[in-house]
Amino acid sequence: MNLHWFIYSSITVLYINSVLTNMCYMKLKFSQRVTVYLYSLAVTFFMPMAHGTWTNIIVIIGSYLLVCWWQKHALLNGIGMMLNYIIGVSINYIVLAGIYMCGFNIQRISSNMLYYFLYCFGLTVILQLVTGILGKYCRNVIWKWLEEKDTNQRKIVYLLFAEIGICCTVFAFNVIWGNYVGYSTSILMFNGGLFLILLFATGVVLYRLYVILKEDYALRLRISEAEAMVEYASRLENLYQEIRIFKHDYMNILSSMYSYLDEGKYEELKKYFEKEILPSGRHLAIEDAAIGQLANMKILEIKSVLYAKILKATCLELQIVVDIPKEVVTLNILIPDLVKILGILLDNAIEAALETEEQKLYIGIIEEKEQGYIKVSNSSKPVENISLLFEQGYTSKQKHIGVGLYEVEKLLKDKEEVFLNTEYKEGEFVQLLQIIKKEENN
Amino acid sequence: MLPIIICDDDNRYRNYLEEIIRKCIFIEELDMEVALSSDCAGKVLQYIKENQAPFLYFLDVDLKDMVFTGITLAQKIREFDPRGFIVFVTVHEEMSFMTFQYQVEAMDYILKDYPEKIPERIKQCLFHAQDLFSSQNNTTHKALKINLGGRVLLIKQEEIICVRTSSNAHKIKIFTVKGIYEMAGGLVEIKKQLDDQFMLCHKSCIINLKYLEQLDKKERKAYMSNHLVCPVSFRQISKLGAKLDENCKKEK
Repeated sequence: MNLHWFIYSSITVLYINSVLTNMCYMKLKFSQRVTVYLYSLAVTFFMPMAHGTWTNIIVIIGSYLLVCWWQKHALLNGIGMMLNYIIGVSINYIVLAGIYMCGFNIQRISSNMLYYFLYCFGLTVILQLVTGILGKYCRNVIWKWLEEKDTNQRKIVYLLFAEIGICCTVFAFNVIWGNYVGYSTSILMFNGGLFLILLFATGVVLYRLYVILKEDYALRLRISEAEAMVEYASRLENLYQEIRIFKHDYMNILSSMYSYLDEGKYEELKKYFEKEILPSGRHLAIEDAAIGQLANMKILEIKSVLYAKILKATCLELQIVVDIPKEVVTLNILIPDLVKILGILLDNAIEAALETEEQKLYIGIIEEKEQGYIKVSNSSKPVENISLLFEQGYTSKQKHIGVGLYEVEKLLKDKEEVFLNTEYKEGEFVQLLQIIKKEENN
Repeated sequence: MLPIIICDDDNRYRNYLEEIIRKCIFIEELDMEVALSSDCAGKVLQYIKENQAPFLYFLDVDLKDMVFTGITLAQKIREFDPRGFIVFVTVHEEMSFMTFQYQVEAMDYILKDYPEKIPERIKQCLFHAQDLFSSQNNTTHKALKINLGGRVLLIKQEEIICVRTSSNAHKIKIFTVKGIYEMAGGLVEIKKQLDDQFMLCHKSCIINLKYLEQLDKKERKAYMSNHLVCPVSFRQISKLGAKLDENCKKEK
């Protein structure tokens, strides 16, 4: 009897377990999966049979706590596991309904060990396939999205959690109640239909929310870009005014030079030249260049992020050099990603430059036939350990505000055409992005 | 011997440059000489076609030639002398580091707007070119040559701490004392270029034994002196342990 019960438990747990953890925030390690399995087995084995579905609930809650302990992200893992459970139970119903339609007696399957084993095994395979694929999708797309530290998105995560929580409660209630009353085939079918609808509705809601969020984000980005462009235009107008004033001054300088020449005061002219004209010329060249060169950047989104950061650096009185010698029209990288990356790199550069005496910031962009280069460099105190800059949680500052290079690393991880080189050399910290263009002819 | 070519259409300025360069070579006893000083791009191209490259060039960016500007001349020069060292002479307004570096791989530039700094800058350029020139010819000097999309970067092998594959894409990352460099390619090809100080300790990682500090045999992890942690495969763990012991003995 005991052995029989043990085998029965271990194969039942096999498919329950495969339902639980496939859609978690991170993929479970093999050892972790085994731990969850053994835990579930222990609970199922030692709980008296009479408790029935309560066993399941204890198994699920326990596994959830285990996963949270390993991975944190309690909310996302909660959503993932509950979704996983709903999908699992729904598939279970579909399969049962299928078997029933084919004219088999379900009671016989659960009482015959061999049939039951085959049934569990088949179900496990199906579940692994479906939830495995969904889990991968979740990890690659949806979790990443919900993870962003934006209050609105955070709220939506809470809503999702509540929604799925309610679904699951209804679900569990139904199963327990059904167990009390005793399963009959029609109730089974009815429940199955009910849960399918529930699953479908939840799926649609989730998907719609995802799409709306995405659109909303794009819209907000565009609005902030438009604002930056308006500011840029007004800044250009100011610049034009300054040039007019300079033209006026220039005439004055010429006439004063003429007066020195006329009176033959060459020594004084030399002094005047070195003291007044040379510095003002240099000053003008530097001030103008920073904003003026932005005209060559033809990708508006990039132009606006550059503009915003240059403005910030100007306000902090950094010495900025912007070097965009030719028109830049296309860069082979998702523009929103590049905007984020540039934002982080420039924020870091500005912060680090402020800590130095020279306070230098350099931004250079060039587009060639086969590739584009983006270089951000700043004067910097010696970087202690450059290899660790991109590790999670690393920061060189005590009170770090920026999101950090780890984010950049994450954005670049799966981009095969983009290479980031980071270097510290003689007081200068350099980051060079190289973006290889796709061969369009092929 | 590294020959020098100067090209500037402003005769007075060119003579001024030449004089500073000659003085510097004489005082510092450098193994260089001014081979050609001309105002005409055609003559320069003619000369490098007929003589043995590489050269060190000082080119005026704002060259008033019928055919060439300083930049296009440099691009043409690159066809004949890919290893040559180009220094641009320019004014602040026309200065573009991105053009110099990524369009023609110039070695350096000199700004005319700061006349007081010019002799010092020229001296730096000559020394830098001399260093690069001798390291090119010196085969015993071990350097890893990596190709970054047409641009070649030399990394000293002794500065490399480890090389790792990037998690998703076909990229590898080279961690050195000075920085992190990404490139396309695989570890096996890189391993062929490296000496026996390096070991492929895992399918995703090559480490420099010089920087190996500690080995956790249980967790199969190698702790490097830059605090990076590298995975070690089951097969390599004992081999790596033996090498670490060997290194410790050597130090003692």
